[in-house]
Amino acid sequence: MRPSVKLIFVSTLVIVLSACTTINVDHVRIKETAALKEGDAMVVLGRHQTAEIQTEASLVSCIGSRLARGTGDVRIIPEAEFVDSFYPWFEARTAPLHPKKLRKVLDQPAVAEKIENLNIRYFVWVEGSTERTNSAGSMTCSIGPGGGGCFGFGSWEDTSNYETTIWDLKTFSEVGRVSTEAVGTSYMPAFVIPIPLLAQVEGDACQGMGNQLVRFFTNDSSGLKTSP
Amino acid sequence: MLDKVYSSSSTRHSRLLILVSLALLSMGLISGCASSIVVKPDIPSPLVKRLPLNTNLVYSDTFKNYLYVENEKKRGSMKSIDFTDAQAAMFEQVFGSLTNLVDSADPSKNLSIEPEILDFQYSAPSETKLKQYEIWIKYRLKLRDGNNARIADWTIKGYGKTPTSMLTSAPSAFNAATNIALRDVGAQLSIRFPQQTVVKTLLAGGAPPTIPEPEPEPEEQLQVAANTDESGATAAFLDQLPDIEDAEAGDSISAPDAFPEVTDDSSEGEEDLIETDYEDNDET
Repeated sequence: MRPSVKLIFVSTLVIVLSACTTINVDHVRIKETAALKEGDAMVVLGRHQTAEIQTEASLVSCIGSRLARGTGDVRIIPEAEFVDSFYPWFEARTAPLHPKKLRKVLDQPAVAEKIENLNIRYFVWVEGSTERTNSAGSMTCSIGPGGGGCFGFGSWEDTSNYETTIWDLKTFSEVGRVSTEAVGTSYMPAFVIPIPLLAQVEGDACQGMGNQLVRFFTNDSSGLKTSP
Repeated sequence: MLDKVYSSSSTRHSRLLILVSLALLSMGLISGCASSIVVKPDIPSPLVKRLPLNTNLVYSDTFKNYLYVENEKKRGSMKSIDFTDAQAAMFEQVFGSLTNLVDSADPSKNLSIEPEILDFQYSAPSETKLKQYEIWIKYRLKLRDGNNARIADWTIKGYGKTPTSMLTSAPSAFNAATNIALRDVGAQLSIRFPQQTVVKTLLAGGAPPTIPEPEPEPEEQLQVAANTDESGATAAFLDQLPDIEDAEAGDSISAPDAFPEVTDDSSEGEEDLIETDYEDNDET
């Protein structure tokens, strides 16, 4: 590969990776400390209880991975595996919306036994979505006998709004909450070849929330608000 | 010389072929291809307590051969959808976990359940502002006792949606949405079945009161309403759904945008849902 081509490729990659996102993370610790011990498990679940609320499975999985990396010995049960093995209690329509309702679900002996066998201590619920909030510009692509290409400029803004709540299964209460709003603008200039400058809004929201959740579970209280 | 001419002709020919292929590919991508979809069942086994009831599942020919065919030319996202195997698998999975499934001739049988499809609707992303494939299925379950006397009807609706994705084809999205809708039906059945009055009566060894056979339905009631409204292909079905209060009273499900929690207080959870539930006949 010629040096000039390499330079163009690297520059493009840098620009692509550096598309900006603004994130606000707000977090509240309701209980002073999280009491996780070796062998405990946690489950991260997305909310899907209405037609509009469709928390992305990719985000739920991303938060789970971040928690798994950050909390060491704690086992994170994948959402699909958990929902399937506890069918029908955590479906879109039937999932408990409050810790008290979760206690009622655990009144089912089979459910309680399975939760105990899996050592599940915390539930992390993620609710929200990433939406396209603005778009502008235009682009034209054409193809002919001599080749093809695109010309124009497009930009769009994506906004992520997520709220994560943490339930403790020992006390059947909410012990923490993390809210995230991330806004990012992506650009796509096209001069023969379209060059996407993408803002990783969902990914950045995941990192923001994931980091705060890790701090919550590792009892790092710097920057955390404590609810009275 | 001849080689040069041949080479030039061959290059032109190849270029033309590439252009034609690209044009065809673009046309294919733009127009999409309506397909006939066969839904593969994907329903997990419910984590529920098995009740001491011997149940027989009865499938009518209409149920076994149900095929939704799209006759509306404007709706090009699918030609037909066949979910007969998937729905039979769901009913067998659910009632096989809740009760003991037996043959119709089994003398120990104390309950027969005959599901009937009342309505099926769908919407594709091209028809609504939502970037989702959505499926609605409405069933009526006819419950009969061991003597084949009709003891209850249970109307139940399922809703499933899958978000669009660059890598998801329409058939796989419809397949996933239908399975989610069937899971939804199965979840409601699994949780609410033990709370039904007739079921409690049977479990207590009693004989639930019988109900009259319903009037034969006019043919148009079984036809699927065509959703041609671009702004809201789902509206017709949503209008038919009852309020949450009705749903929590027990005999039908709620609108997809207002799912109730099914984990109600079980002390209050006895549901007299079924005996006189013919109101949906007027709705469809």
